[in-house]
Amino acid sequence: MLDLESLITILEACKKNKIAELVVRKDAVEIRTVAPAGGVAPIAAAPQISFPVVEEEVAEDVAAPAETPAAPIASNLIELTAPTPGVAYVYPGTTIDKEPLPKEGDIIEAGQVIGLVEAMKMFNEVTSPKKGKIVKIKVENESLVKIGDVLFEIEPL
Amino acid sequence: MADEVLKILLDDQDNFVSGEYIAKKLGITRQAVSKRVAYLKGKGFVITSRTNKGYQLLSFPDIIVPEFIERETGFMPVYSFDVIGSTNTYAKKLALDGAPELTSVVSEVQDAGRGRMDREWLSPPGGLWFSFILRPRCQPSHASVLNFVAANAVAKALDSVYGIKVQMKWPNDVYYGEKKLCGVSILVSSDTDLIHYVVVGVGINVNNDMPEDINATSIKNILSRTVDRNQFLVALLNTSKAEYTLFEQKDFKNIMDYSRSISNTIGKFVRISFLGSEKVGKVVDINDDGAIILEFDEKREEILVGDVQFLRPL
Repeated sequence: MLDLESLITILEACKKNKIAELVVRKDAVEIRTVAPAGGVAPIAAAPQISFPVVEEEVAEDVAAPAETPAAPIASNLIELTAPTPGVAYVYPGTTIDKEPLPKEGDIIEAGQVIGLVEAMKMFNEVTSPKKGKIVKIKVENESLVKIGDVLFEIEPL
Repeated sequence: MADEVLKILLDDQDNFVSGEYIAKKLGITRQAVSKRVAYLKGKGFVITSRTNKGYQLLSFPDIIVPEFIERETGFMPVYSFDVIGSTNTYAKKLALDGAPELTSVVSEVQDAGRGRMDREWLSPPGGLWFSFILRPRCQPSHASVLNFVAANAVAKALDSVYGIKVQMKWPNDVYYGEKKLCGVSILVSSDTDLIHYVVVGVGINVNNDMPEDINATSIKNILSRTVDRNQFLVALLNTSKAEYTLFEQKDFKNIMDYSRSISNTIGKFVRISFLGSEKVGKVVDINDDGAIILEFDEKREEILVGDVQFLRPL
């Protein structure tokens, strides 16, 4: 559970500790806060720096307070994000074990690999936590992504 | 499957072990023990048998002996194959089925050996082709350091067992002079903030001969003799475990300091190509995340992806 008060406490802690981005997630609900420009000292030539993500449970009916920059996703779509910076491989153009990756509209099983992110020749598999339908592939095949960039929108089934 | 008779013989290689003792311990007949010993001899194990004294294991054939690897390293279970498509693919299946950390897969030959995404990888007999499963408790973005964990382990094992000094080409190729000796292929399965499992795949040219005209070498080519692959695999898994302990302690600086000390990439002018585009510059450093710091046009940029090509010979 996450009430308004603890959300504000977390946001204040983020500000104090100069945490630029925070994702709070439970099931299909995700609250993402991003520090306003200039709020965090820019780190030269290091766009890949990531901050530890604090996870809290969020009740489905929590609405983001108007005074915070948090923006809940309107529907129950699951956003799958890049676990690491690198190159994203998605449909079309990429095969795994000679099978093409799933495309928009495909029904996917929980745990099925639907994309890859490569960094330093290492492949991170992107899997869906639930059975669902790929509603949208948000990046082009072989494009550079940053950590946390949304790669897929999944509608749970 | 583990051979229980072999395990008992391994436990006491300095002495004879009586057939009666083995039979009793395993709850089988002495005749069954004798059959099993004959089978092992047929596989190339040298076992002497003496009336009233029993059996003694004298030497292994040049095949990987999983019972020995498990006993000497703590990596277990070790699945071994004569031929397999790819040890990484098999290890991935095991990981999906919930196999614990340090579960390993080794094969004498890989006939569909490839990195990810169907990249070709040659794995003839005589080399070491193996994979193991890790389940690190860290952010997925830190997993890139595992490249250096694996390459450091290879470098340290080669140095300690054979005195072979190797260099590391970013991010995870191990070179002896200008020739490639070992490659690493790592697969990570993760959520945004949780790693499910990692499969570390390592391929090393050991007793396989490499043709002169290709840019690769083997331990046999370097030392002009064949070596004991079981002994080397044990050393390598033990250095892997030590490096992985540093990783689990998040001592990335310690890991990267060693990688930087044996890097053949730092200080070089390189072309880094990536999906049709390329950057040319000087590698001034590799940071604690494992990224290249490339200097070009009087600015510096972190590089995480791409193939590195040296602009001058090594």
